[in-house]
Amino acid sequence: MNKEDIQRMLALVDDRYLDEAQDWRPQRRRWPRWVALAACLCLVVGLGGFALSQWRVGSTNGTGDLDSSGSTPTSFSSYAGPVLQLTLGEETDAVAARRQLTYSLTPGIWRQDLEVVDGYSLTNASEEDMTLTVYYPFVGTLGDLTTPSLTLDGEELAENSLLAGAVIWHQGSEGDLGGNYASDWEDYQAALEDGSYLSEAIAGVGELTGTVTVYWLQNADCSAAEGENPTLQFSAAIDPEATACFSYGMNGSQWDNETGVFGSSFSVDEDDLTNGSLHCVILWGEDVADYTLQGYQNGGCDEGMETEVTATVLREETTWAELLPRLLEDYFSRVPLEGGASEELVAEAAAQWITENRWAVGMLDYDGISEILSGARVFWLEAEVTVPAGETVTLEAHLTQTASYNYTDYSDSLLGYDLLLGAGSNLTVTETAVTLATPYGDQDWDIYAQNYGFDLEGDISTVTLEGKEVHYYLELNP
Amino acid sequence: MEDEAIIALYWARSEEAISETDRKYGRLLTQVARNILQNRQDVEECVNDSYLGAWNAMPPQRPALLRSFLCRITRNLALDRSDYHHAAKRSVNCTASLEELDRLGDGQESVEEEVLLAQLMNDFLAGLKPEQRVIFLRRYWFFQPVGEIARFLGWTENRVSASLSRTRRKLRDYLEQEGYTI
Repeated sequence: MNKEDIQRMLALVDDRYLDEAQDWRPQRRRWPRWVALAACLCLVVGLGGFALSQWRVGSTNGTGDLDSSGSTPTSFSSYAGPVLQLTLGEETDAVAARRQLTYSLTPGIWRQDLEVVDGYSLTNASEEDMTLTVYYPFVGTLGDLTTPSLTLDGEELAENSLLAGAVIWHQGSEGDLGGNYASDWEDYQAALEDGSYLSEAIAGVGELTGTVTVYWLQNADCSAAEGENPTLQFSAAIDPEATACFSYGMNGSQWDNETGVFGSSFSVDEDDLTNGSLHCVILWGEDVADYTLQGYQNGGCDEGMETEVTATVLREETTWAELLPRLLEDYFSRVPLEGGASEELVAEAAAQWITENRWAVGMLDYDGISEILSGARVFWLEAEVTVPAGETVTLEAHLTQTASYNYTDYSDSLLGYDLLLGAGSNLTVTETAVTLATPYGDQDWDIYAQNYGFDLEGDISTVTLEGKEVHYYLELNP
Repeated sequence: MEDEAIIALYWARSEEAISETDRKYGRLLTQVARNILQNRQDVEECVNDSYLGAWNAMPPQRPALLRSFLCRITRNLALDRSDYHHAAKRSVNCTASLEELDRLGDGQESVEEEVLLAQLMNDFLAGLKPEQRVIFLRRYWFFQPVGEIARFLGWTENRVSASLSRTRRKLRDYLEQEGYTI
């Protein structure tokens, strides 16, 4: 039998197995009631925020025509986030800006990216030199971060700090149970507009204090076990008000609201003794008086399914400051961090995730790091800029804006690029102009929808935004 | 729209069948093709060809499981388009998946009867735990990247790779036990 036969065999797989492969869902943990209650509260708060943002948007737009092209913006299933506006560390009346945005398409058949030069001519009308701390915002994820560059009068500003905000969640709508990442410009508007999102990023999470007790489960052995998926469960009674539970290297967790007993379990592989995998339960706050180790035949950890699985338990008292880097180092030794994010930024985001503690047993690797890396958030490049008295300097951000698109219409999906004006910025912008550039000569802009007012047939490729809108959209046919 | 209603549209030769298929399964079929092909234009054409394939197949066929029926058409078209000997057209992910399976062996014997091959594979799959079966098919039938499978399961990539390795070994043992040289 050769490899073509193997391929032929695969091609003949029964349809029922193909359906199973698509429909099958991994076993999830059971949620305590208080988590459900918290989710309901989040939904109520989210709906309130959504209603508020709708009211605000309506107020901002007034009764003006929202759409100069006569089309409406597409709701994209993969939303890339908007281009955002520069803001200052401290608000000042002395400095105002004229903003010039230039969009150009990157060459290549996919044409998904838009090269954006976001320029600000900062004029100091006062009689004193002004040194400003500027924050340039951009949307990205820690798992795939591309950082813009900043120039001042054409010279690169090399020493910039990078700040990361929290993951931005979709504000939700009726019937939406939440838990979705930001999916439209209003989510960013809601997160940014009162300035607290940036303030919290600047303040940082701070050191995670308090006792951390770690139970390391080592030398797990399932050689005498029965069942298809030998699983070892660590369980103990806790007071949820006094102890927050986390895990690393565990596959499932259980919580009994009646008894206050939590469980955390992992499937014991045949090669678990040799592959160096870490498995631990982390208790933040009060330690438990006692614990139970029990083997089960599968990951359900149900009564009547007990079997013999053993492990050595090593108890360690430590701090998050000492423990978290060890766990992240282990994680990234297995799944290397890609993109431009530093491990320090990821560690800060992990600390933030830990403080939020939205889970009965927070699985640091599966729930935590995946959310930390894949959740869209706003980053800021922080820089110092001096504007001499009575003079103007030009600060430019050079960034690549990825496109929003629809999974469902992938074959002919539109490519969408959003611009959000204001959104918490305290910089006075007197004028915003936008230009569609064709630096490569052979490109054509095939515009499907927009509200800028470009008219390429009429030779209008630069427009001045009149400030009636906060959201501008540009959608291209691929 | 229910699958039965979509199939009825095909049988009634209504072009609405195509738009309803696209609406319900376009995203899935695009994903199946995208796992195999690296070029966006190829993906687009492959999915469109799949609709033509479905149009030509129904009638006479009336599939019991429309989704898998469509996936099978798309997969076959995408593999044809990629052509095993023109790996440049195939996605890196798909190439890696095929190479993993190639490690099973490269013997000379060939099985003529497709029915026998189907029976062999389906019997093998029936003997696997559901989780192993799902991982195996997501990787080698749907060509899903290991990282995506890991995220889907909430596992590490290493653990998914280990599961795949064990299943490949089981398949080799199974085929040898059934008397095939690999």
